[in-house]
Amino acid sequence: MIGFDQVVFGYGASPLLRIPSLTIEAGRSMAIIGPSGAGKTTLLSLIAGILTPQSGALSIFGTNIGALSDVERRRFRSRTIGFVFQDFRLMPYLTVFDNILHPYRIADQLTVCEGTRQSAQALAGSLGLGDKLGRYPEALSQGERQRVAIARALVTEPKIILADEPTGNLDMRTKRVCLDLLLEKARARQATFLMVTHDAGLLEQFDRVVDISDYGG
Amino acid sequence: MAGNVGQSFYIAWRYLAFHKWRTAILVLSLSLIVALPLAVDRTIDRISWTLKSRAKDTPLLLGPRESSLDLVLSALYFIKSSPAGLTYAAVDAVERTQLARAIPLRLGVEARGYPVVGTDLDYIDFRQLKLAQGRLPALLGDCVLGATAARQLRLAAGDTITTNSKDFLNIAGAYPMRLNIVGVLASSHTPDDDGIFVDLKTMWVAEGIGHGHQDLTQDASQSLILKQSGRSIAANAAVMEYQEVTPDNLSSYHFHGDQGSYPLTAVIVAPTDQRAATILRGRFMESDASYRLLLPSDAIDKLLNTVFRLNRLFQSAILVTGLATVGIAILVFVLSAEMRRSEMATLHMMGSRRTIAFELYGAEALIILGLCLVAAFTLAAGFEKILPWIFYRLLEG
Repeated sequence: MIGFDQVVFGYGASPLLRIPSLTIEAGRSMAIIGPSGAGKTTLLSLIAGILTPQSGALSIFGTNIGALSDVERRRFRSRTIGFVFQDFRLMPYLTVFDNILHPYRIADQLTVCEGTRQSAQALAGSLGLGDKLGRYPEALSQGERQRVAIARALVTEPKIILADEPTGNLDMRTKRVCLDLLLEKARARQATFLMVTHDAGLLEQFDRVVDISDYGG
Repeated sequence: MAGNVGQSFYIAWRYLAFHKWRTAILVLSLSLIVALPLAVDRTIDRISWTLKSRAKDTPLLLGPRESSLDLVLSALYFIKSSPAGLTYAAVDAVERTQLARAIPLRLGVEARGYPVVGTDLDYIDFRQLKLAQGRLPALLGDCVLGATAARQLRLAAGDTITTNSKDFLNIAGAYPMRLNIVGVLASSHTPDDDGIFVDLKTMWVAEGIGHGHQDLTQDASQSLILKQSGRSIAANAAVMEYQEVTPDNLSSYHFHGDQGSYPLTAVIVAPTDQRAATILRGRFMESDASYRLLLPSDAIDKLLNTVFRLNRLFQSAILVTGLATVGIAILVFVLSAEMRRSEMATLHMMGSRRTIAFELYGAEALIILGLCLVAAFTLAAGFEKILPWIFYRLLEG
């Protein structure tokens, strides 16, 4: 469960976000909407522990994120959070397989072993990437790249999946396929799924929709 | 921790491999500035040792008064064309003093790219050369090959080798001569390994000074005779000259004129003792003859001083170029880091280790350094094979 209690965040004196109370139940999906600059990405960053609240308490599965040190927040992030970005942010110099395994290679307490390789392979197969593991991102279509990004976010089996407009660069058909995949995988793993989107046509698929402008400073 | 380092090295290696051309250019540029001065230094050291030890093993050298360096390079290392002006009379001049052994040397003819060295058997003894197979030259037309020449030309005792024709357009010039290989010398790791050793008379025949031809006293040869006066016979150009010494034609070989006037390149002078050496040097210094006696090590020291000065200049130039290259390499790293800021930001969002950027750039730098070291030593080894060849070609002018 993710709980915001009187959380305030901002740069300088004026707060950007003021969330008196918000609870996101574990295993549910939530769409975050709102105008540009309203703080959607900031909200994701707070949940991921990339940013810390100026005041208030943000607890995730009972842990007060704001009270953790930088190293602890990094460890928390690598084990608990899976990120999907709008522009995929794949490493162009790594193959599909290495991109999927990347979270294991960069994090403090994760290691690549035969088990992780097998699960990465299985995950890639389930996302239709089984025959593209040796390719580089430049050789993939937009939809395939996004699927690699999804696989990378899921490979560590995170409890929370954060997606920052992951369908923004895709055509309508691919958008739906991508969202279906994310929702399916999140539900199958009972992970909490939060997605920032501007696309009103996708909202009906979420358990809950939050308009971030309700929490503007 | 070790696992993390291994993973960082893996990512860094993938990054460098993906940008293989950029990496290759960087590695090549950096390794060149290490390899070149290293190879030049080591080559000069090796050449210097080789030149000095050979010069040290040759107490005195008698030759024409012109360039002493040309004389030393020609007589000791067989790498320079023969200076002219010395005749066999010089050998008699030295031997008359009874202060030294005189070993004549004649160069200027090549066979398949290797120098033919005309000398006498004293040379083999003086240089302490050993036979690996066969025997030493005993007859006109015999030769023994140095170890390298035999190996490179794939020749052995029992084979033949033909001298290069220096002036094949000149019908009156010397014809190529087929030499009978009667032995191969054991390797001595000196310029002797590259030589083809013949007796002086064989050398003079190869140069056209001595020759063998069909017997003009036979009836069948009368049509070739232009003029006959007593024992002197003048014949026309149709007389058949032999190009190979065989048991059948050996007796027909002869020389015209006085042996004292036949050309030599140099005479190695081996004094009986230090006192004899000093006396000899004094005598030949006073002499108004056209030849002089010199210490080979003096000429080599002069040459090496010049080489060392040039090397210092070269090393300074390389140092400046090297600093510029290292500066450019640092710039490449900094620009690359600048371009990869968003990548590092992504890794941060994914929960990377705090030190990930340091680890990745450090691993890349270490891999490049490692590749540079391997490339530098490989290149240096390659340069060390080529540089002596270039050096000796430069000496040949």
